[in-house]
Amino acid sequence: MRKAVLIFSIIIVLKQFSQPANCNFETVRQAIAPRIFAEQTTDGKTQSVVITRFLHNKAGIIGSEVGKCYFSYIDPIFLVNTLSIFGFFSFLYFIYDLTLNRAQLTAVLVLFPFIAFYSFPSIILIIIYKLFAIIGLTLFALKK
Amino acid sequence: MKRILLLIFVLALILRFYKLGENPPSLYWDEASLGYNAYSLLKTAKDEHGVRLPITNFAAFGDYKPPGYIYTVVPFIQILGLNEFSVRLPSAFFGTLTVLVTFLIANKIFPNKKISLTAAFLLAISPWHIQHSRAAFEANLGLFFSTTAIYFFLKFATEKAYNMFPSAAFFLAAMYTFTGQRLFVPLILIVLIIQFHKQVLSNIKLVIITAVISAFLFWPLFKFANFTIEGKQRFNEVTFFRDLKPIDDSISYREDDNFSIFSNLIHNRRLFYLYNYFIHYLDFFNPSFLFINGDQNPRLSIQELGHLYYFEIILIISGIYYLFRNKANYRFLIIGWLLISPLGPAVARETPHALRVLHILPTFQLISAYGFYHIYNIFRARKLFYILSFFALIPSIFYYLHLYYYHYPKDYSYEWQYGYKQAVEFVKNSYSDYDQIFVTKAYGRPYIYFVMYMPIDPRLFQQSAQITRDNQFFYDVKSYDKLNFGDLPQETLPKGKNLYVVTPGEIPKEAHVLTTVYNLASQPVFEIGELQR
Repeated sequence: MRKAVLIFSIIIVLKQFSQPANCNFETVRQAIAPRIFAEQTTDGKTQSVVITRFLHNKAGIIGSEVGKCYFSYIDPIFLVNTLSIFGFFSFLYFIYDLTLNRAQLTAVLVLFPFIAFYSFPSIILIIIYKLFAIIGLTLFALKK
Repeated sequence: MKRILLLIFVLALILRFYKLGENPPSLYWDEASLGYNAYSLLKTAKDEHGVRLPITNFAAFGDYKPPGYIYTVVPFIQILGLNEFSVRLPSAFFGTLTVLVTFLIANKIFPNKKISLTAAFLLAISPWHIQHSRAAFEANLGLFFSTTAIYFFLKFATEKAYNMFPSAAFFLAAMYTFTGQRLFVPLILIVLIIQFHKQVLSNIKLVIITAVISAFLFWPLFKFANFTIEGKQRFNEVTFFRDLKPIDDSISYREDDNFSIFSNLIHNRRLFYLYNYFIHYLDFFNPSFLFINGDQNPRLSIQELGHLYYFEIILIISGIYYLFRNKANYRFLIIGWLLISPLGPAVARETPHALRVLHILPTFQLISAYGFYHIYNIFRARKLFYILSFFALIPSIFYYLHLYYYHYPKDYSYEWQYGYKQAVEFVKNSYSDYDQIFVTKAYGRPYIYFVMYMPIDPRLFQQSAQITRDNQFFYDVKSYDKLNFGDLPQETLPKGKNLYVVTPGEIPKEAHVLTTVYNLASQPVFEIGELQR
């Protein structure tokens, strides 16, 4: 079993990672103006200003753009391309195990994709993912 | 409880029926084809190509549509006439009923009325389900049939054994209604049989009798789908298993390794296909698809929002967590249903595809409802919970409806082939004034809009339309009566008084432009002009 864990860990480590989407606070900021313009233009003059302002405002657009960025870092295909298929499943197992046994720590886990939002290189996030995948693999092996 | 269910039903009804004929802004060609084939059945008991009461397929454009939706829409056309509302009505009606079926399924799976009502409510307001209930999508009718079949299977397992018969009948109806259901039904049956293996074994005689009858009834469709070129054509057209790239990649990798045995093993083309299949499968669980943008095809999503609401992220995660933590009775069924749903659609090139995986509904709503119930129970500050729920729910629904009714028709009328109806109306009024009418094919399949909106008597169309069939088995209507569909004759324009319905800028220079048809984004779609030579 140890050998299998070692081999799969090496596969996970050596798997060439795919570059995540270029997405950070700067790209979010850049998206605001064109989106507000486009959405408010569609609303046009016939729509009540209050409704337009309520539905197409900065806060909403920032939320939506941050969501887009965040999800691009937990996209299953990005994870498979970064961790390999084995790594993907061991990563899922890690989350599953953590959620069932230490649910509070999962709350910390969901914050990790925000690392890529700052100017930190995305490789940090990728290394963390690979680490989690290897831990997941080890936990699975220990359980068996 | 009954009152709440009634309110949910009314809400579902309003969300699916309000301005049904106007938004989506026009019929796209498959809807028009379903409508005209039903009209043709009604008038002649034959499809548009003159085939009497087809059982397995309607050739239509050469896409060989399943018959379920077309037969269902016939009585609605008889009562309401051939128009957008009547063509979409079965989808909206059975979509509304699916909300009730969701309540019944949830009631069986979680014997708790609050969870059942929440699941029904979440489906009633689901952008995914509303989008597909408001257009004539066969998948939506298929979804109603398959969920009802699952409900009867649950009744078979928990109440009376004879419920196996309606379950099988609805599964068959689902397969005769939507192509995607043909892959889904066998898989969900495996999940159901595993979940209820004891009940199945204890009623094995009944199960075998039902299976034999079902197999007999399914045989014509099975024969068409598997043993005819036309039946297989559709699958071959959409699947990535026909792509040669994985084979090229495999050869290239093995070549780099001098075709060693080990290389042949690990760079085997089957593994490349398997990897591709896995990636396509995962696409369906892409959070951007589910929560942010939805399907890339604007007919299947409003683009600015995903298929599920943002607040459902928390509900789904907590729902899955509690299903496992509480070791809920039917967790295998729900999670199994969720996981097998994309197995069929994942063979296609275009993934994720909201329509082909529609049968995944209402699993997300069932899981969300379960999650919601448990969050509700652990939340001690109930008032705060209600306030938070209110602020999560109401703005989300309001925002979705605003986008759907205000932005969507303007931004995506082009995707719904807006303009055809307006062009046909213009032509119809002056049809007798011209010798020939030339209609561009630039937007695809114009004939179906002319036969539908004129409307042309199906008997005459069947007898005198000039139709060709290409090597891909697609039908092409070249002309009918004065109507000519295709490119303009470039060298010599025909003599006589002719009308041209063409794309902007395509009209002959000498022609007199009579009108221009614009879409809802104020972009010109058609120019209509006349020329006498």
